[in-house]
Amino acid sequence: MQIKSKLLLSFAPVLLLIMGAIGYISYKFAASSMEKHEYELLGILAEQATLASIHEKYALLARSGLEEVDVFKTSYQQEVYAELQDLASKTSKDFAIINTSTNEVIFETLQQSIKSYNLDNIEQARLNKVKANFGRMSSTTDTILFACVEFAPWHWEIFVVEPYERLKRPLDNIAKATLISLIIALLFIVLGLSSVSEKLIFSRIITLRNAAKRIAENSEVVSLKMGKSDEIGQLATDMEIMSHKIRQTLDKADSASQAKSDFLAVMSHEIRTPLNGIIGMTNLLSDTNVDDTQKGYLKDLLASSEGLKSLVNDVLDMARIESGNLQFESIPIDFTRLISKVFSIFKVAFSEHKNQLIIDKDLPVSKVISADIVAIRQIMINLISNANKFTNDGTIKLSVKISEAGEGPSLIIIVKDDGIGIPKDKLDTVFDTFTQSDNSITRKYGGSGLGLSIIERLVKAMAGKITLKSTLGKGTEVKVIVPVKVESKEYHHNAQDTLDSIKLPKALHVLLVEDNEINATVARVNLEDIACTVEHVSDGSLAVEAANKKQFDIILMDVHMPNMNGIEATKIIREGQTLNAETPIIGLTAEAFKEKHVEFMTSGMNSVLSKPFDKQALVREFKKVLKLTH
Amino acid sequence: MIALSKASAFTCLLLVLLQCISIKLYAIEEQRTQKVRRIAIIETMTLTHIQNSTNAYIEAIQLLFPDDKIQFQRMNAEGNYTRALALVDALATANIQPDLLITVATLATKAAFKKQNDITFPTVFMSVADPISEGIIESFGKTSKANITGNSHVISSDKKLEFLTRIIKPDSSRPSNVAIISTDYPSTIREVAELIENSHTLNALAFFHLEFPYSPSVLKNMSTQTEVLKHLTNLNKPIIGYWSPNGPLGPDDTLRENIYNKFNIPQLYVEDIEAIKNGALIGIFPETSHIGQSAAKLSARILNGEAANSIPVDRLKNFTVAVNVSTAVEFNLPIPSDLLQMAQEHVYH
Repeated sequence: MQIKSKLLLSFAPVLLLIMGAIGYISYKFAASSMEKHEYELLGILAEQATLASIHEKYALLARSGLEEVDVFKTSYQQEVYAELQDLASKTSKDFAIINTSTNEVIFETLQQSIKSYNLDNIEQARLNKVKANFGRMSSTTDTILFACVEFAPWHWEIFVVEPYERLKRPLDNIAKATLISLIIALLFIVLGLSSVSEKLIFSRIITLRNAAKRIAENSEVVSLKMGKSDEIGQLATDMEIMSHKIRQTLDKADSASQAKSDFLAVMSHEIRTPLNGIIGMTNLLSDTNVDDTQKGYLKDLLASSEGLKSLVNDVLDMARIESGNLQFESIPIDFTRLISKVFSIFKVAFSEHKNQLIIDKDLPVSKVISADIVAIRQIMINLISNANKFTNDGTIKLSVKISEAGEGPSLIIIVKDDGIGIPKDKLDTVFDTFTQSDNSITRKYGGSGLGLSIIERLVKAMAGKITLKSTLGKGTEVKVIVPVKVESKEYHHNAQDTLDSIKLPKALHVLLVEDNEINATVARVNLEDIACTVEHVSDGSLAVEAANKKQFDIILMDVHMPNMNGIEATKIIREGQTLNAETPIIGLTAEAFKEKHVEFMTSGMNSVLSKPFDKQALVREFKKVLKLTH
Repeated sequence: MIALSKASAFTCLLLVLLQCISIKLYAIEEQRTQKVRRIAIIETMTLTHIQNSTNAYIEAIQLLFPDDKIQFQRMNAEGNYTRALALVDALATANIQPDLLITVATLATKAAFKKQNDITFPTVFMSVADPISEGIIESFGKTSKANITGNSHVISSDKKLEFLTRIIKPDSSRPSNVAIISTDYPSTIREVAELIENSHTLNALAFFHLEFPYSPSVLKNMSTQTEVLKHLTNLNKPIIGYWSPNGPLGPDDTLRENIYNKFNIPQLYVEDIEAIKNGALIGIFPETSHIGQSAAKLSARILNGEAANSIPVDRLKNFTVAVNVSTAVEFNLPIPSDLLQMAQEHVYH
């Protein structure tokens, strides 16, 4: 219920009560005044219209010496009766005369005899010349007000009577009119209050609420222009100031975030470039004649490098997710192949922890399931990596199935292990970044603590859901549900998958543009291993010069280089009338952020390959840009 | 010293002498400027209210002209129309003609109106019941074509009937029988006709008209008395009383007593205060002082230069109610309080 309705519901009964009370008091006051006025009127009628006329007649008779003459006395008394009858019809009052010597009613205009009334109250008051009695009498059917005067010579008591109902009738009409007026007035007051409060308060509150919503949702700077004359106006001013502050804070936060992203981009490049060299050289060294001890060292070196690469990738993933630049691509997925590849990644790790992987795949054969394969693969890898890390000599079960229940089809991935489990009090924080259930775990099991955080954010970004159940000492189960597309047609291996299975159809002449000598050496060896002839230059200007002299099948262009970077060189090659204006150019970069890759592509590059890369990645990229399917 | 005393005495004597001469000269001048006005008065007959009206007139006109010398020539037609005509002729042919002729009651007025072509002085009438019937005017409020004006002293018959009806309180389903006893005196005829006509409209009183020939000696004529009683007997109707229109029979005490003695009915209405004092129930009429004063005011206007035929003839506005409560009590006819109130100075027992 809105405040306005609450206020109206609160105030309307109070107003009704107050106005009703005022109306009732007014009614009682009016009734009392009217009764008093009526007594005065009855008194005037009794004295001036009735008694005065009787006195006059009697005085006339007395002056004429006829006061004891029955013929005249009776005649003049009948004149009095006639006058009272006439007066009754003209004044709507009733009259009665009682003979005090016989106590008989000798005249009355009342429908019900005055004798049938019982005296309720009586009081004596002096009129101008005579004493009069005033009071109220009641019968079983009605009540009358009366004034009574005495005319001693004829032994008369003359009553002037007003039925109380007749007196009350105009009052009742006034009461009804008052009640109607009261209701109408109440209605107007409520409408008036409603209108005024709507204008002064509620419409402005709604404006404030909408402004608050805009601030909350879009961090807008609001301008309300309500003045500062009252509390709401001051609140609006405060809200305007607040929105400005929020905007400024957000701008600062965005700047900080951008700085962080820039820093990470730089760090990514600066770390991955030497790492590329380390991994590449280690691989090359492993292929030389080294003894077993040296092989062991090289293996450890390679593992450490891979670990560092994995850590760097995790940090970059998290940064990318937090920057909100995630974009998902829905493509058909061959889950058999995907699971197999993931398994192959962890083959060595499983054997090291003496764990066994059980795969439970329950997917419809006749359906094609489409989702972002990179995200799905990352989710699977991170979950299995975690499970393997905290399980020794145990079983890790990977379940993959489709649920058609709910709003649409969903892919359910469950990874369950019988490892060390998570204490109950730590369950709420496992999705926090850089958090593990125990700091000692980091030391014992290693890892950055980013794995589950990355998955949780990925799942949320994909509009999915992640739940975790764990019992300390018994194991952990993580369940991920993400929406997917399910189509009823047979899945065919896509080009991506096909690319991995074929070799280059011919030896390619490659221009390698790389300023880092180690990376250049690694790349050259890998290229030569896949039967490519390589011509190496160390910056962009040399690349442009080489491209002007000789036709190449592919140009591998590093992005960050001295003298002329790869983007500028690519633009010149594309824009000039060189031999290689149409030659596929693959950017080589340690930049991990995809938005940067987009920037490179817009300069004219056909594809971007992240460093460090291996021979397989090279072959896949070559086939993609050359559009080779066999 | 002696010389001084002589001079003072001489001066005083001279002053007294001069004062006496001034007074004498003023008296001579006064006598020389006092205007003499001659007013001739012809009374119809010797009736109390006629003579009282004349007396009131004389008194009032003298008050209106205190500085003038007014010479009155008062004559009486003794109820005889021919004598009235002769009196008018005598005035018309006299060496010194009056400035104004006053006629009192109908016969004298009728004679003066008849001789309008022969007389050169204006006429003011009073105590005439019906100047319309006499041809003086066409209706009340109008002026006469002749050099005559005056006031009627009689109120309309419907008013009289209303008053009497309120006293009698007749049963509307059975009208009360009332006899009208009158002569064919000129002013009476039209009043009786109006009474009978209005009684039909009122439907409360049934009038039986007993009319007798008028003669100057009607008042003393015992045969008339006998005729009245005889006619009342022959009516063979239960009557509650009799009505006396304006005319000579109304004030007749003998007739009232005879009727009361024989039929035990009252004289219900008469326009004569003495009659009411002596037993008639009620009468509504102008007092003779009002009649005389009214005629005197008209006379003053004429003597001051207005033409008589430029002054409209109307009814008198002031009337007196007189009642006899003994009669009312005896015949169980209480007078309503408002009438008794009006009659306060003329309530008789």
